Amino acid sequence: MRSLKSILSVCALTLAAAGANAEVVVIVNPKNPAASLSAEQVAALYLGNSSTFPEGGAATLADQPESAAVRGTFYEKATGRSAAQAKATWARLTFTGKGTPPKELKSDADVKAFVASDPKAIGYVDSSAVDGSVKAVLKL
Amino acid sequence: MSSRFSIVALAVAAALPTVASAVDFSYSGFSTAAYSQSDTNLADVGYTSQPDSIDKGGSFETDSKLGVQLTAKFNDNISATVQGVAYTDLTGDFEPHLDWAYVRAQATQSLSFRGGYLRAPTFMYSDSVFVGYANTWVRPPLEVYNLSPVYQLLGVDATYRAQLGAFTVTVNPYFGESEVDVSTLKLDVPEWKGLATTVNVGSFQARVGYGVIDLETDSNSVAALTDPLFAVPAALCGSCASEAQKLLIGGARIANLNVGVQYDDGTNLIASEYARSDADGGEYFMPDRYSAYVTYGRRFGNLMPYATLAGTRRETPLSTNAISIPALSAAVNGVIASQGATDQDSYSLGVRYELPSFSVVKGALVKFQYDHIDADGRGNLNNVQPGFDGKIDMVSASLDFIF
Repeated sequence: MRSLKSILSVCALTLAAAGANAEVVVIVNPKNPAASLSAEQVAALYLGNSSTFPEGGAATLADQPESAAVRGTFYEKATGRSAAQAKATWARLTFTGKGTPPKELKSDADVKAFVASDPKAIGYVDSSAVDGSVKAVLKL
Repeated sequence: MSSRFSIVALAVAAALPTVASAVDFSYSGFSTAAYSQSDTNLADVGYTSQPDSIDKGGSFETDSKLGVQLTAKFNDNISATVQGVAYTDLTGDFEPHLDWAYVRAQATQSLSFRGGYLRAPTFMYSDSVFVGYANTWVRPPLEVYNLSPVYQLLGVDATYRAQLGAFTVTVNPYFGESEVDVSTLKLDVPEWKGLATTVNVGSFQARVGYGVIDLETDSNSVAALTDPLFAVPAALCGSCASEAQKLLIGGARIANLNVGVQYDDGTNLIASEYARSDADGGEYFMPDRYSAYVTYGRRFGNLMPYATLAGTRRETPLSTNAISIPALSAAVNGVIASQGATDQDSYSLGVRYELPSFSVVKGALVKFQYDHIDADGRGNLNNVQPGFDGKIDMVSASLDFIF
């Protein structure tokens, strides 16, 4: 009884936290074999340290517009870097031929459509935008 | 260089219409507008042999750049990239250069090859020193970054990347040739080979680089010394021939060893490099040296103050008593006394501030940096005049964009 109570209170706390801070969800194409990804694995992709999914398949990255709050939240939570720091990292990689920066799309809907249409794609959206056309692999 | 450029341009132009429909083009660019001024006209701060480097009169030339890059992606595995950068070269002219022009092939998920004009990864940030937006400082610590006479490679490189648990290991061998026009002479590098190995784990990166550069040149400014030194019979002067070799840039071989570490946890940045240059031939112009720097920066939102300590030490002696013929000995010692870097220390304090992006400018920042240089003699400086006391205070400001 006591344990059920504590589980319920944890759930309530989690819900409260989710309400206060919009969650960012990392999404991939439903054909992607990965059931979940760690923040470290997502950070490796979005900081250019890796260009493939843990299973070995090539990854095509989608980004949100700079004006979108979800972009800052994503980089802070997934990589521990600000979006500006990630931009400097991608400038270094781009101009030395070591990587192609994430493709900047216009909105949650665009990112979702992009990921839904490309088996290699990965993106991130506000949790409210997730639906069956994509697979959620990490909640931040 | 310019004829090679036009051949590449012609080939690209000829190929464009036929493949344009299937090719994914992207372009991007970067720029730095930087001004620096020191407190003396008796010595200039800049890249080795750079004319009009930084002095009391101020310089926009030393660090300002404009780069544009065009990439054509033919399919998932083949792409071609051209990057033109306008900057002040070692002949003193601000003009466009074909800095990168290569075809890249992704052989497997972990292995890729490139061929064409590349920048060799001699030091930790060698390939990206021109991209001011990507760098912490206004310019890289020159005590280390002046240790290699060339940076651009015409050749091939391979990049192999392996994931070993939490460790990402990148191995980058390269091979090719190079050339550079200095105001006083033309340096040719008929063979340049090297290897850079990098290990990344979490916020930490460690790197070891090693490269060997063979030098040739079309002129010998000290033939009046080297000819008689070679002509002296060994019975009269056993060391004259080997001393003559130390005056010859042509035929010299330079080995660069570099060890670098970087730690960046998002708030704290630590970057440090140790580098050596060992010459076999030409030591009296390109002395054996070792250099190091350490930079610490701490981010407060968009603002990052940073501090750097750097130094270089010369190992090649500043005089020789190996030449038994007095007149030749005096002349050679005169060259040694006037050529090649000597010891130098410096510290720098700066701030890097991220500005909001606007319109086509994807990123913008401004940097202010103060440098204090303490040279023993001429240090690692250019155009040193009699009466220079070895001390320089210098301020720099730069505006960096990516677009």
